[in-house]
Amino acid sequence: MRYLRPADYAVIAAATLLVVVLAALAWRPAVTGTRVEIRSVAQDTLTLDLTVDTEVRVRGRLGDSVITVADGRVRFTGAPCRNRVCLASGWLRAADDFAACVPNGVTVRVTGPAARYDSIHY
Amino acid sequence: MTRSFAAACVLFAVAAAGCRPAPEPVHDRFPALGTLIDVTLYADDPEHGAHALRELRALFAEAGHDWAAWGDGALARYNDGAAAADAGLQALLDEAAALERASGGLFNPAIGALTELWGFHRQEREAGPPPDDDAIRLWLNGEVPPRVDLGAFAKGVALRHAVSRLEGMGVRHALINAGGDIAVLGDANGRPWRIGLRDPRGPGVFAGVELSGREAIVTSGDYERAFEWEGVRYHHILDPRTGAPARGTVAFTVIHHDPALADAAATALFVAGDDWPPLAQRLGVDDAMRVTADGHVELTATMDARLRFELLPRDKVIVDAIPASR
Repeated sequence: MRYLRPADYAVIAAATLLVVVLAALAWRPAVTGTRVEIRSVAQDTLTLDLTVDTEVRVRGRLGDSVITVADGRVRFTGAPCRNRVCLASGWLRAADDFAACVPNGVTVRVTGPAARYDSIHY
Repeated sequence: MTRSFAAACVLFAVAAAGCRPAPEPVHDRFPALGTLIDVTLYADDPEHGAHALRELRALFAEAGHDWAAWGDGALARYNDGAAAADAGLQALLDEAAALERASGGLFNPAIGALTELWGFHRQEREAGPPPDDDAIRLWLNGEVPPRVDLGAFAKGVALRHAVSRLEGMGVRHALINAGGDIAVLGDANGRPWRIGLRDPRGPGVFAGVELSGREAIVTSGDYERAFEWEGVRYHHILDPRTGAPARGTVAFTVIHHDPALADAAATALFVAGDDWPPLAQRLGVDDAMRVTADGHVELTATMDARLRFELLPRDKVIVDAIPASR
């Protein structure tokens, strides 16, 4: 450590500070969702409170998709399609998290206090 | 005095304009083209908006029927040899053929028989193994009657027609989301349309982008239509050179003023794999992004300038740094 001089410590401190500041600027924390918007080709849009645990059946093109809200999260828990891509999407929690059952024509999108996006591209 | 009065009038007019309530958007959602169509538009009055939405419903319903490769629509009957192509369908086929040539065959509108072989012509593929190599070889050798499938193009064309129809009706601001592919017109009441790009491997938003004027964003992704057989995953974007799902890319995104070109280009560039940069240039695509199977992001400088990443990619390479042929 005797090889380090006071100016070296200053450079290290400045570099550390720079990293912290840049990380803080670059990091955008996910906004926690408050509601969930469920859209289907076969019925009207359903909006649920993400803080109220519930399970709903949503009619789609092939049959009913089952969507579960629990512990501030939402996910597909049942689907009439074969591939079950929607079930594999898992739990959605943050605003703008999105899952779709394309064959059944049902989409689930978490929304936050203020909409950040007009539409989700997938 | 006169000058003061005129100034007061101008100020009053500006204030009055500012007091006008912001136009409320109207929405509609309906199934067409095998997917969910979501429309938001700003119209002069509710009746004008409702009329425009009815027109779009009819347009998409007609496109879904006429341009389906299977069924009893115009393209299906053309494929079955039951009817000649009318002028509208012929123009579509000619445009698709031109894009096939421009893409070096990577966008292939005559891929229908191969799509059918893999079972992807159905919304819900029957459970079962992939086709055997001999069947694929027959298709590659041209020994299977060709069948036109505009699945990688029709949605883009329908979006283009929809935007033109809205413009013709005097609608200046609209967003149409056709199963994830989006075309916009104008802006969202004074600010650009804000679009979230879904993470190809998760439920969150991967990046945000703003669109305005006449623009479209289309992604070809391997994540929505696929099946697994004996532990191997097979998706629906087929490489006409091998007859099998294209490997190496999970999502390819294109932004372009023409939704039809964006649609075909996204497929061709997905299939091109590592060799996509020169093809993007040939197709006239400036804003392009590839997400590779191992999570790397390759994109053009112009696309990079437009995107705001919410999830930091594992690695990001600007296309200028990618050799034209690797």
